[in-house]
Amino acid sequence: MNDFKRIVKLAKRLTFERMFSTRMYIMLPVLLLFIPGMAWGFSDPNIVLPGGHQPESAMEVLFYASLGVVFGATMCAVLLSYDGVSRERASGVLELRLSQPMSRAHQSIAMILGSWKAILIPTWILLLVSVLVVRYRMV
Amino acid sequence: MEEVVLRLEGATYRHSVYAPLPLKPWRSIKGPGIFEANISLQKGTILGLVGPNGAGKTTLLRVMAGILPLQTGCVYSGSDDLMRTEQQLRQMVGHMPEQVRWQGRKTVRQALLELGEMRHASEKRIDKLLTLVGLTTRKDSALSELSQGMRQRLTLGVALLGSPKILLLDEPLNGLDPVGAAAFVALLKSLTEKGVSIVLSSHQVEGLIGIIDRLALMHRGHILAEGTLEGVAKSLKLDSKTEIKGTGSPPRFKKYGINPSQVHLEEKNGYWNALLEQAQPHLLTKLVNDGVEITEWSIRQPNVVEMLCAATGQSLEDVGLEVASSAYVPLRTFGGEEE
Repeated sequence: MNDFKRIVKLAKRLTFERMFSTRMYIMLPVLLLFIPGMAWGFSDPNIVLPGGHQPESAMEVLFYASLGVVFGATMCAVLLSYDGVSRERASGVLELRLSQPMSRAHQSIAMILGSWKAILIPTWILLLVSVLVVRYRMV
Repeated sequence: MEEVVLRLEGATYRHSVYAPLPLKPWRSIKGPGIFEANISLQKGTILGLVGPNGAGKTTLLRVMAGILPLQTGCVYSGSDDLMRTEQQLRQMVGHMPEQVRWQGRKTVRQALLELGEMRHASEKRIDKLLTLVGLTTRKDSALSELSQGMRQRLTLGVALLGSPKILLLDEPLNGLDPVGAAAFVALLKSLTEKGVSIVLSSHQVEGLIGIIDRLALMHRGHILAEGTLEGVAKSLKLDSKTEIKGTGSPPRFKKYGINPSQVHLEEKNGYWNALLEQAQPHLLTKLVNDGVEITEWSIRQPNVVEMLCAATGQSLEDVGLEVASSAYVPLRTFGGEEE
């Protein structure tokens, strides 16, 4: 197995672990509120934004709703990855990882990829839900 | 002479200690660690690392595991094959850190599979390891459901993942029940028979005597003495002691040519207990012939604590109580710098 395959395989395991972690169960309602929730709010036909502006198209509503991704998903990414590393450090598992012959750069890439995918998948699903919400409310 | 599998020459690693100044809030200085450590690990032997808290045992193990980089010094595989990267070292070493607190919903098998990925360990190998460490029945249990002893077994399983030539164990007997500890020791013995070299650090020094082949005494980041138990005792000029217990009135040892200052005598309720500083193999016959009532007689090898005290030149209290400060205060004389 070459290094690339090994990184991908490890990242896949980490993704699975992070996606079904307790922290993710805590973060999911926050993501739900931020992404589809904002899409629901901005697609209200009677909404008036600051400055008296009213969103005119579905794309504009989705653009405003994407602010939820900036807040919610970023917070989720920071929490999940920090929690993943700091908890492992405190429990001693990180020491075990670092004593394995895989290079640290490759381990870091696998960790970043793993955490990134763990956030990306729910965010994409929720964005898709947002599109459906906007379609339902505006068409 | 036995084959050397790993050799550290002048290995030094000092931890950074945060020491901010008003105008340099990021400042850190070099603190405690290990200094100029020279150690040779021989094939199929168990080396016991002994020292008080803060002596540098864990740091030395981390350096040997390739987790901490060497600041000065070299590591050789065999007697003279220089290892240039820590990754080379990690390839041949299995490390079992102290008290890994496994937690989460992951199962035991999943945890091993994940770490096994880094060592190209197959699923078959993982299953074999689970059997070896006695966790087959708990392989589908969540990590948070494991007891401390089971966690130790799992950590050992991880250390054995890549069939390492060298096994570094930091306080491996912590949390194991007596039966588990005996099984653990038997496992270590079987591994050494297969040619695995083991470095074992433990505070339970008395328990080490029956397990280890060689001993390294550490204090304040230095390896003070290293060798076989007899060799270390000899190098420290420590003699075997004679322990005698008896009833009635104790004998006058001066009569047998023994200096009274070398006899520690205790009397209680008609029983007496004498500890003679030197081995006196012929004394028993003389005492029995003179009608002294003896209930117990033993010639005792110097124990590890006595060796440690002799190596440091300090008393038991000094070695034991001084560690709290030595763990944080850097040595003043290292490398000519004063911190």
